[in-house]
Amino acid sequence: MNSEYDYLFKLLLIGNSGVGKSCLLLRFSDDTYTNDYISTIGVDFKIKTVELDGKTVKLQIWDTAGQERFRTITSSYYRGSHGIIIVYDVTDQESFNGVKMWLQEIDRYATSTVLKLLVGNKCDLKDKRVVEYDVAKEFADANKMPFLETSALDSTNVEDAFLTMARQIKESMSQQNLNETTQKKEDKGNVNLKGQSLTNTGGGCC
Amino acid sequence: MPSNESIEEHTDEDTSGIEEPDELTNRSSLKERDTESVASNQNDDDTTNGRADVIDGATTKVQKATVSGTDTSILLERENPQLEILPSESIDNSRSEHEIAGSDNSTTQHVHPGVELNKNQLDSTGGGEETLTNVSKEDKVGSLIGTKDASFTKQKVEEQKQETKKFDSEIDLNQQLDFLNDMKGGMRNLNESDIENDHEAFVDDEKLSPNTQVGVDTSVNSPLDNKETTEYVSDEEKLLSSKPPNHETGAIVTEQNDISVGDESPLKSLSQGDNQNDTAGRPDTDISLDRTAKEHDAVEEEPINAQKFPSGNIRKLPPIPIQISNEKDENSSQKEASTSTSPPLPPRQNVAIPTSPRLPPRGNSREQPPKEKSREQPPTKNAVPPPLEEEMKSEKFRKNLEETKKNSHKYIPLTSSKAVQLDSTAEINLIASRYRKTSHHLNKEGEETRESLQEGQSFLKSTYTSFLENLPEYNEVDNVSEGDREMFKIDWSFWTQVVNDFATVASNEPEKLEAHVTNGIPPQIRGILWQLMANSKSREMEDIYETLLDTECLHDATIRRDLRRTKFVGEDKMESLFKVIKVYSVYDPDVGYTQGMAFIAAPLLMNCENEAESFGLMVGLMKNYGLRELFLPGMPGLMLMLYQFDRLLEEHSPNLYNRLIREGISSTMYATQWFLTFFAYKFPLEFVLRIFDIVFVEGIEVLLKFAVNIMLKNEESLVKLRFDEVLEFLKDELFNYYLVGNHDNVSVVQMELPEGAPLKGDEASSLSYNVDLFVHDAMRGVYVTPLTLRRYRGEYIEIHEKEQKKENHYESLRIQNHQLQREAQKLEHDYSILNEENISAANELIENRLNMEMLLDEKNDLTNTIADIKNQIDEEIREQNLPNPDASLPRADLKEDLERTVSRNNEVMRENGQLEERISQLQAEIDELMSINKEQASTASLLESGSRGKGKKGWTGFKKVFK
Repeated sequence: MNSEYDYLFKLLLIGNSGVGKSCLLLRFSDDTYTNDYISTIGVDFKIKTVELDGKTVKLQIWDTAGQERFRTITSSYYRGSHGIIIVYDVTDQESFNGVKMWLQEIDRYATSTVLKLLVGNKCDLKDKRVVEYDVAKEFADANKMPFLETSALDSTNVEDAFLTMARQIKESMSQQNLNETTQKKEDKGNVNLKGQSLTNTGGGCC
Repeated sequence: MPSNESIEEHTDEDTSGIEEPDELTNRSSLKERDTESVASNQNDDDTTNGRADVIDGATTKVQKATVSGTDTSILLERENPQLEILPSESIDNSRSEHEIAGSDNSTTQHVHPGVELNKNQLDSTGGGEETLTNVSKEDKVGSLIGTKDASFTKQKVEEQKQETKKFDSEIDLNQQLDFLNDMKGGMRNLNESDIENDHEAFVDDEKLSPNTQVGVDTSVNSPLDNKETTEYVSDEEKLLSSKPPNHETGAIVTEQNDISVGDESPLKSLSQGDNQNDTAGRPDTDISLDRTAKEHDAVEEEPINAQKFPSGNIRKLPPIPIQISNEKDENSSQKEASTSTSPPLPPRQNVAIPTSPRLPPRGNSREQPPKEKSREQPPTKNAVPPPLEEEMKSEKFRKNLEETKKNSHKYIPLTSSKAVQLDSTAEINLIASRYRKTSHHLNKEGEETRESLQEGQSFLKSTYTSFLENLPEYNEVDNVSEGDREMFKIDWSFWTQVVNDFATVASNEPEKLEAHVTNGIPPQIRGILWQLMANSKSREMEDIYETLLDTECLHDATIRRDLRRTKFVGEDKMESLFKVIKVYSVYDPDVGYTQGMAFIAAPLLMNCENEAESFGLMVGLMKNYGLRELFLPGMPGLMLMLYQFDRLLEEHSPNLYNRLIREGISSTMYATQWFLTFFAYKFPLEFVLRIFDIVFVEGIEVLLKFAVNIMLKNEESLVKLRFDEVLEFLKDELFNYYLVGNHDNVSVVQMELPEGAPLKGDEASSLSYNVDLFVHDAMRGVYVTPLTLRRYRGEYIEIHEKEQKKENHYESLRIQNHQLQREAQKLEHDYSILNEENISAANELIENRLNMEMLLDEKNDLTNTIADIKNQIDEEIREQNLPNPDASLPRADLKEDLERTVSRNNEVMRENGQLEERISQLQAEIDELMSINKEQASTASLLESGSRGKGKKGWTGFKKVFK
C-alpha cells in the first residue's frame, strides 16, 4: 500500500441531472460553491484525502453526468466503486422518485458488496422542499442505507456525508476480513449440514 | 495540347486503324507514325507511352489470367456475347463518331499500338476489335475535350447525340441537354485553366446530372457490354476524379524507368487485384460497390444514356484500369485499360511543361516498342523490385510529401500533383471524404429539398458578394489599422472561389483548401462558409424551424435549466440559443436534448445571421456530418470515436498510450467532452471556432486530430504524472501548452505561423493562446485518413458486437441467475420441507417397522397361544370326549339299567320292607323289654324305698345287672 495513505476508497456520485452532485463534490473537495456550474459531460473526477480514526483515507470521487443518455459511459464506473452516493434534490420530487431507478442501476452494475448512501441535497431551500425528511428516511431504512440531508450551498452535512460513506466502507472492509474467515467456516458447516442431511436421508432410505 | 498539325497528320492513320483494326499491317505504319509524332508532339507521346504501358500491364495481366482456368472462362463468356451484340451497333456507332471526331483526334493514334498489342495477344479471343472501337470512341471524347473549343465541341456532341439517338430511342433528352451543359461548362473551364477545368467539369456533371453517376459501377456486376463499361468509366471518373490510386503511379514509374514498365504495371494490376479482395483497404471499392448496389436499378433503366456521357468525363479515368483488372475480367480489363489510357491525356498534356525534365527518358522508352517489352520481359517480372510495396507505401508517402511541400506550390508538378490530388482525395483525404458524403447526402434528398438548398446556396453567395463589394474600401485606405491589415492579408480571391464553387475546390484542391481553413476562415464570412460547406441553408429548413418553434417540448425545462447554469453566450442570445436547441430536440426526437448540445449550438448561433440558419447548420452537423450518432441513446458514435481516438493515440505514441493504460486511465474519462462539445467544454472559444472551421470542411473525424495532437503535445508532462494527477492535468492544463509565452512552443510558433491569420489570437485577454499553432499542429502532426478510420471502425464494430453479445449474454445470465436463485431458494425451501417430511416419514417407517416386529412377535405369540389353546381345546375336547363312549351307549343300556335299577329298587324296597319289619319286630321287643323293665323298676323302687342307700346300690346293681 502506498505510504501516502492507509486506505484508498473509490466513491461514485449518481443521481438525476441537476440535483447538485457536482456542487456537492466541489463543496467537499474545494469548499467552494458556484451557482452556474456547467452540466457534467461524461464523468468528472476529484481527489480528497481525509483523516478517519487516525488513518489517512484517500477518497477518489467520480462525479457522473446525470442525464440518462450518458449512462453508457457512467455505468462502467460502478464496478470499481467501494461506495455509491445517490443524490436527490429535496425540492424535486422527480429526482427522489429516480432514486429507485438508481438503486436498480447499482444492483445491475456495481458489486454486490458496494455500500450505499442516500443524500437529499439543497436542504437549504426550505420553502421549496417537497420531499419530507421522514419519507426519505423511511425509504433509506427500507433499503438499508444511511441517509443525510445536505446543502452544498451552506455546506450542511456535506463533509458528514462523505465521511459517513468513508467510515462505512472502512468498517465493512474490516468486517469483511473477519467475515471472510467466518464465512469459510460457515461454508464448511453448510457442507457438513448438507452431508448430514444427505446421510440422514440415505439412512432413511435403507 | 496537341497541335492541330499533329492532329491532322495523324488523322488518316487513325481512321484506318480504327476502321480496320484487324489489319495488322497498318499497325507498323502507325507505329512509325507514332515515332515521328514524338518529335512533333512529345507530350502526347509521353502520355501515350504511359498509357501503352498501362495497357501492356493489363494485357500481361490478361495473359496471366488466361493461365488460370477460371479467369479465362469468364473472359470467354463475357466476350462472346459482346461479339454478338456489338458489331452491328456499337462498332458502327463508334466508327461514325470517330469519323466525326477523326480530324481532331490525335490521341487515338497513340493509343492504338497498345491496343493492338493487346489484340495481338488476344487474337484468339476476338476481343481486339471491340477494344479498339471502344478505345477509339473514348479517345475521341478525350481529344474532344482536350483540344477543341467549346462551340466546336458542342457541335460534335450534338452530332454524336443525334447518332446515339438513332440507336437508342430511350434516350432522355433532358439528360442529354444536361450533359451538354456539363460539357460546355467543362469546355469553358478548360479554356481558363487546365487543371481545374477537369474537375470543375466533373463537378458540374455531378451537380447537373446526378443520374449520370448512377450508372457508374454497374459494369462490375452486370455482364459487360461496351456501353456499360463506358458508363462505369465515366462514373468512376466522376466519383473518384480525385483518386487515381495507382494507375498514375504506374505511369510515373513508367516515365522514370522504361524497361521496368512492362513488368511493373502487370504487377501493379495484380497487386491491385489483391488489394481489392481486401475491401477494407480500398475505400473506392467500397464506395463504388455501395453505389452499385443502390443505383443498380437506375443504371438498368438508362444504360444507353451513359454511353454519351463518357465524352465529357473520360479524361480522368485513372482508377478504372486497375479496378477492372481487379475484377479479373480479361476483356473488360483490356477495354478499360485502353479506355483509361485516353482519359489521363489532357492533364498530362497540360502538365507536360513543368514535367519536361522527365521527358527524355520517356523518349528513350518510346524507342522500345511496348509490344516487345511486354512480350519479352514477362520472365523478369518477378525479378523487378517489388512495386507492390512501393505502391503500398506510396499513398502515405505521397501524402506526406505533399504536405511538406504544401507551401512550395511551385514544385508540386502538375502531373504528380494531379495524381496525388486524385489519389489523396479518394482515399486518404478527409475533405474529399467529407465532401463526398455531403453530396451523397444531397443526392438522397428529394427534388424540392435540393431546389431549396440551391436557393439557400445562391442566397449565401449573394450575401458574400455584397460583403465583398464593401470590402475594397479597406484596401483603398492608406492608414490601415491592425484589423484592416489583417483583412488585407486575407486571400479573398481564394475565398471567393470557395464560395462560388466549393465543390470544385473541395475535390480539386483539398490541400489548398485545408491550408486556408487551417489558417482560419475569416470571421466575417465564417457563417457563410460554414453553411456553404455543410450545404445547410435552405428555405425548407427555415420553414421547419418556424413551424416547430411553438411546439411544446418535453425537454424545455431541462434545456432552460442547463442554459441558466451555464453562460454559453451573452444574456441577449440566451433565448435564441434556447430556441435553437429546443427546436432541434423537437425536430429530432430520437436525439431529443442531450447535455452538451448547447456547446455546439452556441458557436453556430454566434456566426449565423439568425436562429433558423443556426438551426439549419445544427441539423446539417447532426445528420449530414454524423454528429447525431454521438448524441443518440447509447451514444454509439461517441463510443466509436473514443475507440478510434485510442487507436490513433496508440499509433502516434505507443508510449503515452501504454502509460495511460497502465495508470488505469481510459479515454472516456477525459475525451468524452471533447468530442461531444467540439472541445468547447473546456477549451477557450478561440480554439473552438477554429475547430469548427475545420470540422465543417473535413468532418467531425477531424476532432480526432485535435484530440491526438493535444495529447501528443503534452506527452512529456503526462507520462510523468500519476493517475489522479493525469486526470487533473487532462482536465485543466492541457491547453496551457498553447499559452502564448509558453517556451515549449514559442520559438516554433513564430516561424511556422502563416501570415494573415485572421482570428482573435491577440485578443486583449490576460491569457492568450497560440490558436494558429494549435490548429496547425493538429492538422500537420496528426495523420488521419478515412482509410484508417474505416479500419478502426471495422475493428470497433467487431469488438463492440462481441461486447454487445457478451453484455447481452451477461444480462441474460444475470436474469437467469436471478431466476435460478429464486428457484434455488424455493427449491431449498421445498427441500427442507421435504427433508423434514422425509425424516418424519422415515421415523414413522422405523416405528412402523418396530411395530410390525412387535406385531409379528405378538402374532407369533398369539399363534402359539392359539395353538396352545387349540391343543387345550383339543385336549379338552378329547377329555370331554372320553366319557362319552358311555354316553353313547345309554340307550341300549338304559332300559337294562332302568330295569336293573327297578329291579334293584324292588330289591331294595323289599329289603327295606324286611328291614322295616325287623324294625317293628325289634320295636315290639323293645316295648316288651321296656314293660318288663318297668315292672322290675316298680319292685326295685319298693325295695329301695326302705333304704335309699340301698337304692343306689340298687341302680348300680341294676345297671350291672342290666349290663
